[in-house]
Amino acid sequence: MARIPLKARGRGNRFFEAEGVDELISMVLELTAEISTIRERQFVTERVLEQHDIHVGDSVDAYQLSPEEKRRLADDRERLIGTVLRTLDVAPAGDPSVSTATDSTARTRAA
Amino acid sequence: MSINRANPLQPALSRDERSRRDFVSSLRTHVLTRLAGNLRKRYDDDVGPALEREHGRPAADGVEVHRAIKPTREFRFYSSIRSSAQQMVFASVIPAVERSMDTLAERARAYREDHSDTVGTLTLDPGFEVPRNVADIDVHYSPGSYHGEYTDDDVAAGAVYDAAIDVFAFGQFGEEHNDIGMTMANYVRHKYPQFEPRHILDCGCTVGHNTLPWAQTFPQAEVHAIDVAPGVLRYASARAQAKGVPVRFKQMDATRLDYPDASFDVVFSSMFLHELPLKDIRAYFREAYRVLKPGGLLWTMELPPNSAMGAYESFYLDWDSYYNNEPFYKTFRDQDYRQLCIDGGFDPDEFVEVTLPRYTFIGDEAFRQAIDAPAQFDGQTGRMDPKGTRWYGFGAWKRK
Repeated sequence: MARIPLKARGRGNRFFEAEGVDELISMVLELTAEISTIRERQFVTERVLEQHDIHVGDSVDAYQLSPEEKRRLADDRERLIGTVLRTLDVAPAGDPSVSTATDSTARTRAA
Repeated sequence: MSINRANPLQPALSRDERSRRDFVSSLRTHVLTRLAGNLRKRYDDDVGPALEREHGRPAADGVEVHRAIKPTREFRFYSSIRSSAQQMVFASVIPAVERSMDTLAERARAYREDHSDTVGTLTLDPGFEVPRNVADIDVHYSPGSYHGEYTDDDVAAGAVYDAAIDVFAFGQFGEEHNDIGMTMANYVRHKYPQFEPRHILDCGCTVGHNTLPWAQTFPQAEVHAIDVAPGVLRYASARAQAKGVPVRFKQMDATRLDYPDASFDVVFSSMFLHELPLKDIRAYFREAYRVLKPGGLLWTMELPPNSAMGAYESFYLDWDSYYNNEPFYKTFRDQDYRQLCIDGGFDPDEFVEVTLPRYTFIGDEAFRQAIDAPAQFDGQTGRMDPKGTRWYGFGAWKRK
């Protein structure tokens, strides 16, 4: 499958003098996005179950995950961590999608 | 939140993908209202008065405000979160487009080839060289910029752009993301009822959000639209066909128009010039003048000029030039737009300048009553604000 770059070219913005604060903000926002998404999914799931007259309650706590389910959740966790920490990604060598800013961009920024 | 309307040229989304897009839209709304409000308050309470004490006068321009406000906590958080949110816009739409790009290309091709309802066309130039201001910069931090092609007959760049606008605009461009086009076309219709354009050109049209309103407002006109990026043009053409609106899309550089002299009654562009280097902006005005018929109208929706705005508002709008990969934005806003028209060949007395309420938000009758009000330049001019936005337009008539 052809890939569309996920990270834009150009210098990342830095607004805080202390190293890492801007990246931490990105991570917090990604994390909040994930929480928001999960809350919405859980809300809808419970409504769907109720439509089928299933009230989950305590049985969620008692549920035993199968090995396959555990692997799936591990994959999901890995994806979540990758998303939250995406701001720290660097492109592989030679990837044109994250080359440095053009001269004109740099000049304008420095102005 | 994003509009998430059904669109046959967009991939099917999981609930999680829809939720994520809605979250990013909500985040942008928060940044551009609450955090922007905090920033303004800090300026009014502290930064502005300090500047006045230092210089014995209010801030002279946006550059002065930018320099003074940059170290504040409010600026840092506003900017850092806004910058992250911008990148999250694209991250929320690209994976779904990527996994569906072959299907989308196929669907778009089917729409383009179905001429049962419309006479729209698409003309691409295989030897076309995409200008550096698009090819070398990921404008708006859009990964891969707007010109990338990833598969045969690719429409991915258009699909990403359309979806990204949906998330980015949090409804502020209208249900069809066409409010700018509707506002600008309907201004011409109401303000100049004797003017009946037969040939209209939209330059830098991307996916045609603001092109289609011209064909819908002036159904007797032949509407042409150009852009440099093939993927967005394929998408634009399919989108127009799907909506049954006839538009002739062509891959072309607006600074070197491949149309004969005196071809058009209206040459339009929206949110386009601020992405061009100044030499290209000047070339655009010369070309627009050349291809306009005598009595035709150059008509432009853009960000308002810095000279018309207060120092704080100049700073606020120019944020994108410094922090959103739009390096030519401030240089454009620093120009005298009337002079740009004159330098292009237009008569100084034929310059027109307006600020307009959003047509699709207030309806035809209220809009008609509002169009004669003098231009207003304040915190709602040219800025996406749920409390109210005023679009800025300018242009010039070519003398008969």
